[in-house]
Amino acid sequence: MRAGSAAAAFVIIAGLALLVAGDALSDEKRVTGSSHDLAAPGNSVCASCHVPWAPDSERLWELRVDDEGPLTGFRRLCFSCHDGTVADLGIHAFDATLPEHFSQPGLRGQDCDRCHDPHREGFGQYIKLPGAANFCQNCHATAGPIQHPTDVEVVPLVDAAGSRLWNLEGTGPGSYIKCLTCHSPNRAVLESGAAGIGLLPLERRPPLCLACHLGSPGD
Amino acid sequence: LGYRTPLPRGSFVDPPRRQGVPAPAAILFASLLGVLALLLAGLLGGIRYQALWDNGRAGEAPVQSAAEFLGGLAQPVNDEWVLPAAVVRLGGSTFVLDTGNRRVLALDEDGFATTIFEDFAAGPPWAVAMTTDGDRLLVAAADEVLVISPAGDLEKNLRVRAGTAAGRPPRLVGIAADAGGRIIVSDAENHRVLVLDGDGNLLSGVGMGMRADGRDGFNSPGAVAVDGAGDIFVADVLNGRIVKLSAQGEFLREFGELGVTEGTLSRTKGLAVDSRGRIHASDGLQVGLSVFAGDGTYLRLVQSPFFESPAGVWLEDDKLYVIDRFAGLIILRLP
Repeated sequence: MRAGSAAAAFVIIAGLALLVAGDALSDEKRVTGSSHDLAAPGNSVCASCHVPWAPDSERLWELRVDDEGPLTGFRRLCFSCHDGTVADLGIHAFDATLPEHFSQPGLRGQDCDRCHDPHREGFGQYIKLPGAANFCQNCHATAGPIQHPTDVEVVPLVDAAGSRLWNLEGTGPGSYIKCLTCHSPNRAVLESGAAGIGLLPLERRPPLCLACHLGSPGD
Repeated sequence: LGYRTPLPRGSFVDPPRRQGVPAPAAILFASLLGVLALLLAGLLGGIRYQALWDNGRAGEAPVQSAAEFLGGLAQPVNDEWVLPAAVVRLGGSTFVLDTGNRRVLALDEDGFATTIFEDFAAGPPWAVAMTTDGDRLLVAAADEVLVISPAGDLEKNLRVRAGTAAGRPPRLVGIAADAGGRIIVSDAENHRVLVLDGDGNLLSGVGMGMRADGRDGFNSPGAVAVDGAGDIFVADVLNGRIVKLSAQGEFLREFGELGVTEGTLSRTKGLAVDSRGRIHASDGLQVGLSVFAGDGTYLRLVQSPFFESPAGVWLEDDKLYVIDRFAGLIILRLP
């Protein structure tokens, strides 16, 4: 009986170990060949962000982890490339003068990794989950329909792709709006009357909207 | 020297301040503590080279173990820069690349800024150096090298056309000039270092057009600097090393290693070589400046509570000008 229990425990532990190892291996495979594959040929793709003696840590490259300031939590590691030098500035770079989507710095799953997984490029912009157009809905749909300032109802099937706002055949009452047309989780602008809602900077808002709305809240 | 505006504006770069103690008494107390700390550290076998500044004002830093703080400027007095990336001194004036706003600012001694150039159509400016004659600015932006007078007149626009087999246009993020009038640029997009003549013609290049290491390769080369002998230093950022090339582009030496601890290189952002041949490398992840002897021996890490993300550096005599992407301009005196 004891031998059976020991064997069962061994199998379980070995299985868990294989699962953990398999997941790490998957991450390495996923990164290989992606735009986050930063290593010169022959070098570990993991070593650009992780040091080998602590592979489970998320921010192994940061000697200084800040609780406040522009580079809190994981951001220092992200910014070390996404500062316009290693990665082009066209890819999101942190601008401390503009607000970001709420996060809890340094907490796994609640920092930048709330939406992004640097190991998975397949969903576009390293978004964690598939269904890019409706990604925001993964969290925000739970709030239920709300009344949008432009009098467009935000319905459960929000299309956040950032493609055009209108339909060629016309947009009637109840039609949905696309989140990224006006909002931005990164480098957003908070304006009076829009507390907590990150809007695109004025220059990035659609000219079609601005033709009527003048870029001011409530216009 | 100027630039003694206390770093701040109620922003995140406020240095820690003591409250409720008269400044002279606090300074005296802190100085005594600093001396005791230095003595104790020395007795214990090593001083940790960390500058501890408590108020940001020149001459009042209680402990200065590695570099004396001379002044700082979180933002210009009359303007705001966004994510500045590089700094250069020319003709006694300080010029800063306001990368976020795509412009070049000239700072006067009181910290007031004047925009001298903002026509960066190809992309934001990333690196700046001084021409060999010391009269003009060399600014790297996207695939262009712009020669700009201190007054802001565009004298040359040199488009670097040396693409690669992959067809990617250069993305220049480092620049320097040597005594012969040649311009050295790093191309992060194609992992190369290019040597150009004064008209932007390609003279030679080092790199394989793809991520690589060894004697012939770079992996995201960044800042470049030239020493008094004409040798070229390149921050090979993602290989975690600094590569020394001859003026002809031949591999001479490499030093540093990729790592996260003091003495290694994490993400080198700026490079400068002083008159003693020491190499000062700013590091965005280690949030400090690693200093190496000319032979590559690691000397020390200079840190500061002011640093958030140190980037471009410029040396003038014994003064090191550091531009920090978030904290602004910080000026140190080298030991």
